Amino acid sequence: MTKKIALIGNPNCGKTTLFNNLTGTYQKTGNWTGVTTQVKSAKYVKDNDIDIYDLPGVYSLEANSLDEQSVIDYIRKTPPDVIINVVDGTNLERNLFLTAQLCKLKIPFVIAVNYIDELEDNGIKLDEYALSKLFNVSVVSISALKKIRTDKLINKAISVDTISDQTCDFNIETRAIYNFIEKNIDKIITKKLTRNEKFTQKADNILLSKVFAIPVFVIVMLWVYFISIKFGGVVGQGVNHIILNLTKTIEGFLFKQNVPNILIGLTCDAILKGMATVFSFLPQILILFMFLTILEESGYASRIAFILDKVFRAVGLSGKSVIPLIVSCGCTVTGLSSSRTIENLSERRMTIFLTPFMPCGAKLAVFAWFASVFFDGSALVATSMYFLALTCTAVFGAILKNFKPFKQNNGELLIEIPTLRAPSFHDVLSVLKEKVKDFVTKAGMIVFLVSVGLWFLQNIGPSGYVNGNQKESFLFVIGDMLKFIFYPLGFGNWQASVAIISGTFAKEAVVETLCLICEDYSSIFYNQFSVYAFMAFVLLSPPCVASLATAKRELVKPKWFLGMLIFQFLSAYLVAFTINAIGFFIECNFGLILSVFIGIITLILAITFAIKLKSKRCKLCKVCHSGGKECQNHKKRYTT
Amino acid sequence: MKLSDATINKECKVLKIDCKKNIKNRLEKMGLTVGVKIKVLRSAPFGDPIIVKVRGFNLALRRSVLQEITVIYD
Repeated sequence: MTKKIALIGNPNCGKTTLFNNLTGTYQKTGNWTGVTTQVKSAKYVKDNDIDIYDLPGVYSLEANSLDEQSVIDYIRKTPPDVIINVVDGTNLERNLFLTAQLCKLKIPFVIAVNYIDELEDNGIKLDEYALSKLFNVSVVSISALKKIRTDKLINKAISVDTISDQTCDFNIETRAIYNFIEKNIDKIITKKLTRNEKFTQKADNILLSKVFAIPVFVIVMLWVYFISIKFGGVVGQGVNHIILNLTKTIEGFLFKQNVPNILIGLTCDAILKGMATVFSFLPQILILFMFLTILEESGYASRIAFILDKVFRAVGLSGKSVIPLIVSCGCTVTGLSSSRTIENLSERRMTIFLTPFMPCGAKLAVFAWFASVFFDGSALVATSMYFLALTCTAVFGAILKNFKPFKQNNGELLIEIPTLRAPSFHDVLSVLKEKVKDFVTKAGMIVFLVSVGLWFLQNIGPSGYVNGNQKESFLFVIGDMLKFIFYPLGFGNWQASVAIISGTFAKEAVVETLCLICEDYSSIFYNQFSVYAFMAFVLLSPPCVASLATAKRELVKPKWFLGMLIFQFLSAYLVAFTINAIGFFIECNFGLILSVFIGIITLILAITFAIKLKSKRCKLCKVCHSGGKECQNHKKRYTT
Repeated sequence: MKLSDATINKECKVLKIDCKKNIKNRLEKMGLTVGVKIKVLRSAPFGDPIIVKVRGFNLALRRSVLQEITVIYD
């Protein structure tokens, strides 16, 4: 008989770290609210008869948000045999609220007090006995990170079978529960600031201060992207060289063995060269993900949400959109699913519409390749893509905001600002391992299929095997039909059209396609502006199939999904067209810098304008932000 | 007095919460109940949102929500 154990606890109390340690699988963990957005399960590493379920973090068992709803649904539909209630020992008072609600469920549970190592280090005493008496359940104090007593916890959990003495006799009204906890908390734990909390207070004086917050944020992000692009690029080139040299050796060997030309072409040109291009991006993506994980783990990510909330509200997003946007710089799929923590529906919808603009790891790879081929490896080009993405997010957000479905009417935002913690090496490593696995399977599947498919389309035409004459291939026919769409954007030729199409499977495939079908890249683009327009189109056009599937799931209704597709295609088209048009007028290298410059200025202007508009207060009440007009609500209230 | 007008770092006691029902609900579940002690810590560089300390943890809320919470200095 398999036993089902579910981990339930507040957001950011260490559930996922515990889950990682118990199951040995690599789930993404982080130090901000809402990392686990779906229920995940895996087998206990020491006993295959035990299934462990990791549920999203919740503050209560009432459906106030999507996450809470999913936890309630899960418990109702498939009640677990035992619940482990993970509580953050450094913040017992709030965490025990959920515990009190769990008593109602009539499912046996045990309490796991996490961060016991931190408590002990700081001389804080936890009275396990008093806590277990309070709720009539077993208590195990653990450290999920250092694996202290985690096995004991599981043993306890499987031995709890009866709910006989777990009857709670207290009032379950919110205030009553908190009063009950307040009354008893001093018996359980001594209140004292830990060293981490003291450090957080001091660090926040800089990280969140009026003067330093923005500069620190900008510097941190610039370094993150600079190191990922520059350092990752160097390592990536090495990888590329190794695979290419290997390819040459294999090619020579196969040639000597009198293998037919078509087979050599398929293995070496299509498969191996495709892999070489794709794998040379792996280091960049890994380094980027490492930094993003550290940002999340340390608790800085939710501080970014706090700092930038007002800026993002000006364009119809919320501070919580920052997390999906930043995560999307790694992978759009993860970014889209993390948009669930946004309370306000219009802000969430807007986030899903705009998140795919971000340059994900795969797009970054495309830009890095373009930068090295067309712009002498200038780091400025790839970096400018981030600014372009941000500009477009702001500008298109400000435009969308005026449409009814995106109009926000209230100020919902609740972000817990967690204590800063040093990121755990193990968790960072596990995310990286997971990413490598993801990437390899992705490269192995989609990119492999795309390259083989392309190779066939390229070498076979209406009249059979084309033998090097590409103009007779199917690929040419398809690209030739579609090239007119891209004419105004400056890359109206069949190669670029085909590259764009294969990019919808996976963005990495853009580069790979170009490598496969072009001998001379300069013939595709007539100047650097059309190259830049092409990059902008790749950046903003609808994301890869995996992201599209996620977006469809998160948007629920097909009409929103369709709206998103049209919106993204149109905005990509518009921006690429503008860039190409600018290039048409300027026609020199200096213009590139100028256009980036113009982009940044537009961004700043848009934001300041939007903030100004927002912050003009109502003439009557001087409280609400009605843009200087007299607001209707207060008119009524103040005149009567 | 409204919580948005409270002096920074001065402990207050919550008297009344007038937010919309769903926000009020969430605030209460997170421990921001009537009668609890609360302290405004700092506001973001652009003036909004604002961090308050309640039941030992830090919570960021928008100013518009703080305007709907009535407090008194403890």
